[in-house]
Amino acid sequence: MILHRQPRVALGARNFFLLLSLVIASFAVRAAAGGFDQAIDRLQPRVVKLYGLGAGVQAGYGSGVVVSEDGLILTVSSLLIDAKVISVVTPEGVHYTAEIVRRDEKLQLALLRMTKQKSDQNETWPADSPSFDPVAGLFPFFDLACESVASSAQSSSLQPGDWIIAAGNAFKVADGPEPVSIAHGVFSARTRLDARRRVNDFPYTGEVLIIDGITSNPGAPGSAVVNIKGEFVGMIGRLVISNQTHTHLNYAIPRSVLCNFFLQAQGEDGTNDSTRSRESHEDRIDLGIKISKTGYRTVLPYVERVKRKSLADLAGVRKDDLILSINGRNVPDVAAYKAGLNRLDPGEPIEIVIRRGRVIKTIFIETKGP
Amino acid sequence: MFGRISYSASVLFLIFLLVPYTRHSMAIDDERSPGTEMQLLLDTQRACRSVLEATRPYIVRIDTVGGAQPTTQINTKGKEKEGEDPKPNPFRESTGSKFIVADGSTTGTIYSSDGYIVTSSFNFVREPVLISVTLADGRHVAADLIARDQVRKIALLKIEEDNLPTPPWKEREDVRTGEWAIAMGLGLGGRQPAVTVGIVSALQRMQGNAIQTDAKLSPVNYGGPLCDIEGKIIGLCVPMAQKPGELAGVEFYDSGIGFVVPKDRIDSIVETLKTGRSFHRGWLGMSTPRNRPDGVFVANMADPSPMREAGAQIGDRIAEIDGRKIKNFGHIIKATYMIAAGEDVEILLERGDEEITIQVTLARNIDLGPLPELSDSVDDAGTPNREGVE
Amino acid sequence: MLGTSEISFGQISAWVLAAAAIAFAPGRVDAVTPAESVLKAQAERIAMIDRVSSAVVAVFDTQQRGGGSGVIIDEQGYGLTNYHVVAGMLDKRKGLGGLSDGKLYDLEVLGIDPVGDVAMFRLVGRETFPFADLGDSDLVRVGDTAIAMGNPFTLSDDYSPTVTLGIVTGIHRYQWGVKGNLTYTDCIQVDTSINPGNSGGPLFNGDGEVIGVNGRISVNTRGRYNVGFGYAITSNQMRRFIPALRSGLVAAHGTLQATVKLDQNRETVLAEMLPAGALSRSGAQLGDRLLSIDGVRITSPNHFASVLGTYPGSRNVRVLIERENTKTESIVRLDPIPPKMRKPYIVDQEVNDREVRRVLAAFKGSARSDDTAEPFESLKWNVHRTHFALADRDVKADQLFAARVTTEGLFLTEHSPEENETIRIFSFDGKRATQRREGEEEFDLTTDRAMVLAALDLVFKTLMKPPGDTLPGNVRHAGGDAVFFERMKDMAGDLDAKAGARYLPAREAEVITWPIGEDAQARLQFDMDSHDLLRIDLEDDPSGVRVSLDLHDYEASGVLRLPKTIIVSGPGYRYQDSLSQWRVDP
Repeated sequence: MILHRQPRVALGARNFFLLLSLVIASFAVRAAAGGFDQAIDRLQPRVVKLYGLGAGVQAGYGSGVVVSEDGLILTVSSLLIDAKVISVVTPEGVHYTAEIVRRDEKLQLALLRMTKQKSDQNETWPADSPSFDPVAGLFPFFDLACESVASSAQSSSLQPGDWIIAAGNAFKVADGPEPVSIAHGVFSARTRLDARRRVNDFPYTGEVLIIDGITSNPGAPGSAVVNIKGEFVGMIGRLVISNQTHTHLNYAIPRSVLCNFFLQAQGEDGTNDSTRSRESHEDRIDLGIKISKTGYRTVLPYVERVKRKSLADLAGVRKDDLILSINGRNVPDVAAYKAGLNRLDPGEPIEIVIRRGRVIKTIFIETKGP
Repeated sequence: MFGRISYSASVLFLIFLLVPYTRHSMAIDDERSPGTEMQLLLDTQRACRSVLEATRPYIVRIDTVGGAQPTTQINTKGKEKEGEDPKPNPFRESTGSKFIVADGSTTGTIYSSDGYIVTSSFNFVREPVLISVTLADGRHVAADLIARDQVRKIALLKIEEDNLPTPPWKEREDVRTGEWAIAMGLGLGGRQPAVTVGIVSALQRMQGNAIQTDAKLSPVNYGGPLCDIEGKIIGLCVPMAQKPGELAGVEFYDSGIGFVVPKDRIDSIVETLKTGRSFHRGWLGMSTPRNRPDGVFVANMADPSPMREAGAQIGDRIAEIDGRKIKNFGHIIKATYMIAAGEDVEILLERGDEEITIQVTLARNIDLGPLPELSDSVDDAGTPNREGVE
Repeated sequence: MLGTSEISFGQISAWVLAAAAIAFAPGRVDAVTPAESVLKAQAERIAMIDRVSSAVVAVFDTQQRGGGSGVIIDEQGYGLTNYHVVAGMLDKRKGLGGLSDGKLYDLEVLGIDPVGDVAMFRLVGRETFPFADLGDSDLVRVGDTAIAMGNPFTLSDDYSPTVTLGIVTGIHRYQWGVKGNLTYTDCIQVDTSINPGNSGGPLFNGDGEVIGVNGRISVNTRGRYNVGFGYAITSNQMRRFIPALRSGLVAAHGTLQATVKLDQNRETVLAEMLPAGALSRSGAQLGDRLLSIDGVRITSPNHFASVLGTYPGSRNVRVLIERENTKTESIVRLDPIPPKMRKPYIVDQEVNDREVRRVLAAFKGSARSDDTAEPFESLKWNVHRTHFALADRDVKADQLFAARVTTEGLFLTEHSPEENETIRIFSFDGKRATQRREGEEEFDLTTDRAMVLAALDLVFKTLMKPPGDTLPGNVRHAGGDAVFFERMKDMAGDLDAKAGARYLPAREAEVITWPIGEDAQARLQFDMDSHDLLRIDLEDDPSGVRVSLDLHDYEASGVLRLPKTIIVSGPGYRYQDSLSQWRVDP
């Protein structure tokens, strides 16, 4: 594997100073925390800048993660890749065009392939340039290692409070051969995404990694996220607003989800599992609860009627119960209650919290899988 | 110490030096053993995990049902008699921010083993009809909102439980600028708190009511604890800004500008809240003319109003409030936004050549009378400022 | 399959019970004990922050509306901030600065750099001020600790700064300006929380050295709040502008009057050049490869603009050019680009005079030991193997010269070592430079030789007599420059020699301009750190004759610190003189 060549500035002077600081040890000027080095070193050669279609607040630039040595790029599915020509700029400033291999609107993910080098008037490279030759296929990349069990173990070994480092083209600060921007923070929590873009609910409702560094910026979607050792843990998803807090959410799509998408994209089978399972599931959930439609200001989800021998009835839901939450998620009104039911996966155990008079009760309902 | 701040070499720096800078020669699949610097980060992350685990028992999830989005400007006058022409209250309450409050879960922190839970008043701005608390063991219990401090953004809940685990608190004088600060919250729902790590940014903020942190505070952790690296609570996460309003400060969410109320303030506030008494924004009950470069003058006073009762007169120049120099209208807000109704400020007035100090007990805006019509409005240049109208 | 929590049921209930067992021990939850290394590192950070935060300034206008931040960099209270922080105070050049001692001090706005968004101020009202050291921003790496301090949203009631921690997330960034001003070139990018009000405040490295001044952030649709993208002007860029800023000048940035493009080998080559422009004057030609500026390898056209943006105008830089496999390094004087300003910024003469006095006093501070506070009346030194370009004939290699400077003027005497008798006397009385020989008629020296004498006279007069409250007319502080010395063979550690480097890295200098007589002007360049006089350039206007004296190898010599080597360069000649002995007559 070829070593990545990072654009270097004043290498001579830099080494000189390093040498100097080593020699005159007692006057060290560099005692800064360099503990993020390894992660940054792995990130920067493996993240590319993307340029494409932009409109209004939708940035015409973005980020992508190189996931194969022949130039497959994982990124988000957005307006950007609808451009006639998707431009890819590698960390050393070489321009490529890319084509879409696959996109999934449910997951809001896309897989691109770098095709050919782009030449323009000022910047042309001969065949023997130090840049990477797409035909020979020698891009530094993150190996998703989807087949190995270790990869899922690695992703789940990430615990809340652990450092994470992200790299991407947010605000297109980095230009040409410049390395992309870094962001650091800690992994906050795992949660299921419940978010929206403008007025529309965001289609992806699976697991995400919440992070406390700010990643909800134009151009950031498609950034790679690694742990302190530089191991790939996820990719920054599209910009969304959390339904739970009404704040811009900083999150990454976990490696396991990316893997599923990547394997599908690689496979011959063109069907889209994530879409199929969810859509077909929505029709099947029937707990046998009818919700009251009356109420003041907000329509509170009071149970009006429970169908006899229904799942809810057998589990102990009663008329006039007020439903507070479904699977840990607050349901302040009827709409939220319905959304909560729709969010459920087939076979997922349901935990409903109800209030009956002054008593708060938790009721468990187990549904059958598909 | 006024002397030179200079770098001093120490043994520690020698340790760092032993880690050569190797970035330019790094191989891709190099499994480097962690260097000193990375080892420190690994140790820090381990410490954060431990703190997160230790705080788990006393962090509770709060779910509310009902209520509505607060309007930006609330007219809480509501005292007009029937048949009378309703006039808008000139002293309108503002929420302080246009932030849209979500209806997701929020966070609380167990205060005492007998069922008191401290949290942020932010979590109840929708005035919910029902409050449910989920304890760390998964039990859901109904909670009563005892009282709240809308100024310091604290609320007190009570659940019918005994023998609850209680947190260790850090005394304010032991907190240091630059120490680790770890915030937890259950605002994203579920059972596992979301964590954010920062440092203590400043010790005396919001007129001594708050400690500042650059941990990413947001509705995810308002009402949750901000802990030091040993798991002791530095303070309770709340939204705050240098202006009044229940939502003021939410606009800072995730920006690295965050505030927590430390133990000493929590204790004294909770003492009052336990009696069922809430704190509301305090008003002076006066208006000032716009755009006077020579200072801030009393243009009019509501009748009754705290200023009038304390003996202020129209035309007085407000020189200082609680020792703070007042040069423009904004300074009045900055001097009083953290003072609740019923609490006192000391105002230095200039009346001609005289300097007069008055003690003013602030009042709720609903207790203010109307602004009398003035025959001559010499001082009044344009629309006057009234406190809190932004 | 159904159930409620009251009935023990399957997996879920088991999980609930397990959780109850772990989490619900009543009573006070114990604190945890982190690793010793974590506590130690935290204690060091706390101590560092405590140490440097006293140097952080909350900057306000006199009405205390809004505000920014700043940092004091010396004990006299001089500090750095952003130009955009003081832009509203330029009418009176007055403001207020709050320190963490809780007090407000009067703030005086000094020089400004509108293009680079830097300004200097001085706080008054204290004998000495706490200050922070400027670090070397060339050593900053992505991933380094970056601590910002300042007064975001003017949150500080007691003027204690808000401290935020992050890392460096990019270096050598270029951020476009507004109509030519407020351009951030070669800046440091951080994810440290930086918000409105942080402007002008310091960015510290992990050691508490100032590596930059925070002045800009990227914001998204949320509004003007930190989203993890802050930009700081580097300490090394500011250091080059400090002499001009301290002396109250409007700093101009420099240009080479050239552009570069990437060639087929991805090397930067000269694409366009103004014929009379800076780079053109140095002999560079279109198509030459531009390898480096001041040792910084240029990687792209953007990088070229970014690196150049960190230099003031009328300043020397080392430029390494390659043509047909031959590398040539030359010193190029950058052309100044005056900043666009709505109103002209008139230099406050008092501020400038203060700087002249400070530089001259500091020079003497380095030249004289503390126990000789009194000015001395004359200074003598002996010279071996010297010419001083004065003797027009018959000078033997070991001829001994003796120079003597008194308040009357400068006298240079040529001795014969064998007979110990005077051969010739050169003298300069402030107006006339003459040569006199026993039994011969006195005659005026040629212009260039007269200028050398004038220069020597100037050096030693400034050594002998500290300037009082009144300065000689039209002596000005003219900002900073870089003084390059040519590499000498006996210099050890010839690190850059392979790259064809002819010159040693720059010594940052402060420039004082000093008129001599009617038409000539001297530029005195003092080392910014050691305060040694490094070089004197003299230019005679009518004749256009230029001479310069380089003063090297300063050594303690009795009560003085004096140069052992003087190099005189004039039209067509260059002599190096070693001074063997100095003597001071008190």
